[in-house]
Amino acid sequence: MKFLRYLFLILLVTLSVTLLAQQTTSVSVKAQATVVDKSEIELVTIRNLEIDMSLAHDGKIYVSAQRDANAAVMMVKGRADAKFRVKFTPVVEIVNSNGKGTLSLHYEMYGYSTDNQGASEPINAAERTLQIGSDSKYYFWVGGRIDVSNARPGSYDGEFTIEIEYI
Amino acid sequence: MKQVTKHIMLLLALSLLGGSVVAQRISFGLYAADDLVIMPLGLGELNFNDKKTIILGGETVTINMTDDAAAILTIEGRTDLDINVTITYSTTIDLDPLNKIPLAVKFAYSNIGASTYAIARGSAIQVPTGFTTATFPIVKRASGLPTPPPTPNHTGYTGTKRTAYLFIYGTLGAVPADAAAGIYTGNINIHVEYSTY
Repeated sequence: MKFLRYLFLILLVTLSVTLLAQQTTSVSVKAQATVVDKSEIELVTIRNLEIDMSLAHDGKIYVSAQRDANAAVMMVKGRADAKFRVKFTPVVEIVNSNGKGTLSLHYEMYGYSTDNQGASEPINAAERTLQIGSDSKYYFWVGGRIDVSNARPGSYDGEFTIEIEYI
Repeated sequence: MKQVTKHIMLLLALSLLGGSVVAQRISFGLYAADDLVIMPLGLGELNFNDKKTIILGGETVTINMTDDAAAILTIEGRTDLDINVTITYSTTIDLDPLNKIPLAVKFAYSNIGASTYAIARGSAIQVPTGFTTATFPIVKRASGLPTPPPTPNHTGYTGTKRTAYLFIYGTLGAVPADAAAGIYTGNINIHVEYSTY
């Protein structure tokens, strides 16, 4: 009979240990990151900026980035719907490749997520956040203003540098 | 022989007595066993792309406690009991056995009885780096003398319950420069139990 009492005590202890195991709670949180290749974003020049001196008015030429067919066209190819940062230098010296002299070209840039120049929006020189379209592309149109009233004859070449990076 | 058996039984009983005393101490927790609930808010994930859409090789991404990308969990339990929270996780998230990214996880808790996570976050206490366990009451107690021992739930009485909040955040990287593109995943396990003193 006494033995049964001890056995009952053993059972009580066993039961307590079992219940202790039930009083804990756990949950898992998934840590995740999608890594992409650096090559997954690139900038392609589709058309260069054409400055036609015959269109000069009072020694000044203006190529509208939003409306002019002579505006340069660039395309960003990247990941669909990804946000990216863009910045560019708005004023660039272009150099007379046939002799002395430089000219200052004031760029203007418009951008849009589809190939629709008329609907594009102005992008100022400060860093700005943009979003690649669902077809993995984003377009830039580049125009500018240049004063050629005091320009020496020659052929002028320059570069337009634009930096893009994912956010 | 009968005398020897009696001694053995007494010895056994004494040895069990120690176990039963421990069981008695933890029995405060036993009453609350079913009412400690931990649940993630939202998707219950720590997605580093929520902080930085595009993650490239060589980059480091940090999700801070105050960022929307931080994972948030609620812990509902008895206000008169303390809880232990333990976090375990792999120190990398993996694409495959060859491609791994270092992961450092931190966590914070808020036990002011806030009704929303936004309010809770304003007073969250960050657990120092390197610590993986924290013990705190579900609701912070006022200073003064200790309160009486908690009353176990019984017929006609259920202890007051409130919600504490956990915030999980951390740093990913630096991502190896030659890391293969893809989805890297890992698990952060959060284990909660009532404290036993």
